[in-house]
Amino acid sequence: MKALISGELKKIFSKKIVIIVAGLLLLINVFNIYYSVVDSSDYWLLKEAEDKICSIAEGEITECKVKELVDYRDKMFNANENNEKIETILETPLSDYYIAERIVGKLTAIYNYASSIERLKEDVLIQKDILDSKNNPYLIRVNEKIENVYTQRQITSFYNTTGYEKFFSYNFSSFLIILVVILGVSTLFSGEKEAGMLQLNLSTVNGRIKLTAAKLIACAVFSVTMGLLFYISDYIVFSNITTMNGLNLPIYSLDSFSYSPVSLSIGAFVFFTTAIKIFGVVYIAIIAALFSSVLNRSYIVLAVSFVYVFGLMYITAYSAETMLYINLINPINLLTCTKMFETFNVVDIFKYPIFRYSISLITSSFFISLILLVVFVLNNKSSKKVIK
Amino acid sequence: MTVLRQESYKLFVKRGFLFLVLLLLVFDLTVTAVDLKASVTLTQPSFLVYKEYIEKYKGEVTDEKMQQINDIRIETELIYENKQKIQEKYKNNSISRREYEEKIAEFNKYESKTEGINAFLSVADTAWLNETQIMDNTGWNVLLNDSSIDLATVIIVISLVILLCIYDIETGIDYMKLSTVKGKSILLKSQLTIIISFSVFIGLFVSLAKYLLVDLMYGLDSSSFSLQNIAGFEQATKDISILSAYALLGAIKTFGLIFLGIITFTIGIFLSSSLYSAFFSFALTYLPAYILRDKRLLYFLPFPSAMLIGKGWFVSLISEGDTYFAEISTNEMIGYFLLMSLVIVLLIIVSMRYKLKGRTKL
Repeated sequence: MKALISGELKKIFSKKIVIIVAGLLLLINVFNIYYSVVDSSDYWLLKEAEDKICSIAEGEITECKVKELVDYRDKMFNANENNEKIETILETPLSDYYIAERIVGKLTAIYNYASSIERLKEDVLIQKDILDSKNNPYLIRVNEKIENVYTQRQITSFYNTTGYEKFFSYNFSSFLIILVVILGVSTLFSGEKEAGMLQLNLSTVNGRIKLTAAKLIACAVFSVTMGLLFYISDYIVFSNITTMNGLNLPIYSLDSFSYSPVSLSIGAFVFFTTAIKIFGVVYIAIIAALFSSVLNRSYIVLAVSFVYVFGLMYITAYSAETMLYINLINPINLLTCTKMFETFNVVDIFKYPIFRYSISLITSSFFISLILLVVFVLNNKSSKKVIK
Repeated sequence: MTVLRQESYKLFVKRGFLFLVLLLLVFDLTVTAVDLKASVTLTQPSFLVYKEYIEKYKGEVTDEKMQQINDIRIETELIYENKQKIQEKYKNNSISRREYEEKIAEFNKYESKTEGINAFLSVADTAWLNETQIMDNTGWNVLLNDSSIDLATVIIVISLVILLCIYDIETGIDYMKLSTVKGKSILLKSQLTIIISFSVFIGLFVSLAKYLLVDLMYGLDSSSFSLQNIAGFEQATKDISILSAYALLGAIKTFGLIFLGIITFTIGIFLSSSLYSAFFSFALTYLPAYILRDKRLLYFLPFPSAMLIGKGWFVSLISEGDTYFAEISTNEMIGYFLLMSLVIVLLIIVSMRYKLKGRTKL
């Protein structure tokens, strides 16, 4: 079995064109991140200023640090109002003031986070009383879940996390991975058919279940490798051109994730979402493998896979809510999973609220198993035909 | 002529291209219909009311028209106010529940009408503010404001080239064909004729079919009005009517399809692989569109992307992050298309010479 898997892996990785395309797309990805983040000539200057001003308050939040930051902001404001000449990080006090004002805003939001969550929970309790009287079990459970999820949440430290917001909203690399994976997997079964080898392979002892399994494992390994390659490069590039401090802060300390249903640290969240994304990549690769086992020509597999992926992207973009149940098995949702963690997102399953990401993962796993089964059955049938 | 007829027969009938085209066209038109349906938030009765008012006040916004429109606004607001008064009366127990329900039911009858009127008032206000004309641009918005690349036509053209030429190259049949008397002089020319003429046909057909579909579903009125009346094109400096802009857009997209066909043909001849030529043609079309989305640079690069998106050629300001760049002038457009025509000719010459050289070696 090991020999079969390594043979299949060799087949995919020895295709020069796939490796060249992966390298090219990786380069395109790096340039794209760079140019989408460094969008103005004074980007580095602004980043340096932001880092310096943030460093005043970085670490554990204390009244003293907050006061120091507010004082700096007011000092810059007054200097600008009175046309005073003082030492500034950027060219003018006004520019420093704008940056300091933004950071003070962030710090205030973090400082008040616990109280805003408490207010939310109070609202939930009021709602719960009303719902108790109306006897709606589902909504009562939703409110209970909200209460449980947001219990004991507090942010005690402040760090410059600007880079994480950009990193989590970046999804272009997933599109590039899909391109490479589809290119690599298109020939998995159809390539053998084109060369007239599949019938021969399927008629051997190892050719039935073992060969199909080896091909599918190789396809999964290839997808995971590509996923890791691109997502790790994303992290490296973002961490080099943006400021990504505070890896231990809770994910809800980021603006877009303040009402996130998960309470992981940012570092753990990076790992968690990367794992889900890679799972999504494998899901798409398995679908492409299914097309490859059904269709006879590799380029048709490529075209059908692209139509399928674009169709899914269309559904994700334009009908995320109206086609909720289709979206639960949509792999594109796994590739853009950070969106699912931004808000409290539950699905009604037999009157029980279940987090959307959990349902997505379960249904996707079920679908992958189903597809694998279909591929095995199809190949088994073909081999039986050959033997006959 | 016989070679042309035989190649066409092989492509459309023997290799099932006709079936693929029909399937993808149905898919394409369904997506357009879904987009159109999604863009109309009004219910059918409200939409009819909206259309009725648009028809009545269509054209220039004069002071007299605006006066009448304001009268309609006051009437509509009065209906809402009366409804609120009745709700308050019911809360204060001044009227009975039965009386309240009867009156509210009467108001609800007008609900669809007022929704349609409100939509019309919003169009009239925009026209007044932007100094444009009152018109229904529901359908035109879907046709002109689409900044995505039509996936179905891209796949049709790539498949056309693969099934017609690359498949033969990949399987080696091509060498046999090229070594014949007719193969030497006519075959490649016939294949190129089919690629170009079918790309022209599919480009124009899809534009026309989408026009008819949208016209049938929601109507495409006021086609002679200037392009500046459509949302997103208000600042356009090109003096062109809506219909002419759509026709020109169709022509540009068709040119883009021809370009895509020739690129696929060239890649296929050099790589001798249908999979890789499909992949690279697809990547060369979609990647620039994703990376340089809304960037002026896209409209100067030798890729089919800008031509297949089309919209940017008429938009007055192209946004690039927070900054804006001036629209692509008519001279720049002419220069670009002349250059691209030259690129097409060059690609044809290079690929034909490469192919025929291979045959001579054989």
